[in-house]
Amino acid sequence: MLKADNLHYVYTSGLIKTVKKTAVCGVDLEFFPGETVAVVGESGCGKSTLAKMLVQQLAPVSGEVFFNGTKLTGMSWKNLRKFMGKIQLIPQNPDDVVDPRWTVEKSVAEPFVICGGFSREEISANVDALFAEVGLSAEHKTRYPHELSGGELQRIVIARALALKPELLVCDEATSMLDVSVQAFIVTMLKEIQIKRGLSLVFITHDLEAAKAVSDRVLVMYEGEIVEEGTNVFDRPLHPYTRALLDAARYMSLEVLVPEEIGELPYGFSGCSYYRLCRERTDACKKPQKLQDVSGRLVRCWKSK
Amino acid sequence: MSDVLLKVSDVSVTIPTEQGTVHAVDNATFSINKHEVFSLIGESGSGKSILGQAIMRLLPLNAMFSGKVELGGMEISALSEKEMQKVRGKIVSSIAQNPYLAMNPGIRVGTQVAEPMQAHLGMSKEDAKSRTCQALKYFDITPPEVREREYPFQYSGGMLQRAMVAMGTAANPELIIADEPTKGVDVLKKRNIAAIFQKVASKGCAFLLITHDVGFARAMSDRIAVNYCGQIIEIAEKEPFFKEPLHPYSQALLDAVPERGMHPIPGPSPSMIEVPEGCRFHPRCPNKADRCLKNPPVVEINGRCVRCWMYA
Repeated sequence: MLKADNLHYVYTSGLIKTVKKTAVCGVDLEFFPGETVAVVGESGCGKSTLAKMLVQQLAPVSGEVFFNGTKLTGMSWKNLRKFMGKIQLIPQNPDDVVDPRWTVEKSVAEPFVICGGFSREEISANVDALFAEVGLSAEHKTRYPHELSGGELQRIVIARALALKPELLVCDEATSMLDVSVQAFIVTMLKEIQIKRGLSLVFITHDLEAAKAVSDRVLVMYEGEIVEEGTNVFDRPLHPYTRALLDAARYMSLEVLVPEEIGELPYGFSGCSYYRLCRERTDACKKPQKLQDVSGRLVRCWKSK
Repeated sequence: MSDVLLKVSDVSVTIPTEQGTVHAVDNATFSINKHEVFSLIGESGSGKSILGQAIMRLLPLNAMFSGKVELGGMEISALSEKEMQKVRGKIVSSIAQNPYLAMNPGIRVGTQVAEPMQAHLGMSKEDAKSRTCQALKYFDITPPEVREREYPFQYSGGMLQRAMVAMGTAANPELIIADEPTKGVDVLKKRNIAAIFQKVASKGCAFLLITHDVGFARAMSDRIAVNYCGQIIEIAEKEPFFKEPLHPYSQALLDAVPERGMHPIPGPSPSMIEVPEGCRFHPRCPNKADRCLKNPPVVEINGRCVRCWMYA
């Protein structure tokens, strides 16, 4: 359904002395209708940049995004608008989405107004249906964002994202700011909506247990690259980084990892991106690593074969 | 018991607001032994942080405090502000959520880490400086001579957190209160924080961890207290608690964790202003009965405390 081809993104900062930071580096991926995919990785590995490129909030430096065979990258805003409702992003912080001076009803109705072609009655009926779908009562409609709790506000954002009948929802750390019970509520609700509407869900998260509980397929990212991809990644991790992540989530081998001590990589190092921290590194890891197919799993490590 | 370090008895905190009085902490009673890691878990807004602030005497100015906090036999809740300043940092120390907000951005990190040593241990500037370098090195901030002359913005987040732990432990406190040390932190950094805390705990320092991260509490602590709507509803040793939580809320909270299938707790969270009558969890409780409208007793079973009628 959604397909990304060799995506790259580089952040540049500074005017005179420009500093470049590669956030996403050659990501290929494909999402199929009705499936739930989790993208996991530590903070700063490029997960959110990837999400923004998928929903066309950021234009990739190179690479292409296709939606049902139509190329979205490089499309004019006017043409893109037709597709924007089909791919929706739910960000980490609901305050980024809702206007603090609008009632939440107005925020949820906004997509219909922007899209055009709805009468006032239709909008009001649609908004009522959306509020019921995310389990909020009619009395919530006239409130302002500051009068709602974090979980309720996140539900408003989900209602708004569902307005234009999307086919893909990208949840960028949508639950990491919430408590366990609220998190469980939101995730269960999203799964119910997914079954009802036949959506595809992409969960971008650093919570491995949550990723394991919700997803059919997992992508593990490190330093802007996908290092492992497959269905039962957490039961049998193949890449050393995935193993390190899982050990950390279970609080095993408690010692502080200090990347500074291992030393900087030589300039122009093109080998494995995990070389600096990998405990199993050898000289062969200094060569560029490619994603290899290991019994239905894609792993970016030559040792996995 | 002689090895009790911190004893909190009947502490209540209420905060008057425009909407009404917030009952943030209601009759909290617990004790922490020496060398013990004690976790206080519960949802956001259940009054955990306020309880931590009440122990440190760092409450908002309009908060009303009642009850008694004893630390090593001394009643610190009755001390004057000036005497309390001697206790903070020397005997109790707190580690805040966000290191960039807790450190002064305009003062060199080394100076800030040395401050408690100069203030509490009466060290000279030179001694404090060499001790600071040792402390920074202990927490893997290298090279310490260079790093201590840098400012907080030159540090990475994880490094500054380690520097803050160095500052918190500088004057060898007996108890450290850590408020949400893992909020919004990814798994690898969480593991590093756990590792640092274990390093400090192995030196014999007691911890009060205030967190909503059940997994972190499980990995770190010896005893667990569960907070719901301003009340401590269960206190238990770690092993039996995770094996068989007694209070219905503890059971529901553990069932909401991803490892146990992410079952949400039914019903809305209670308001802290108009608290439910009787048991505060009864509107959402699957086992509720008429008796739950009356205040439940605190029952002791095999060294565990539960505030529920089911065990009365």
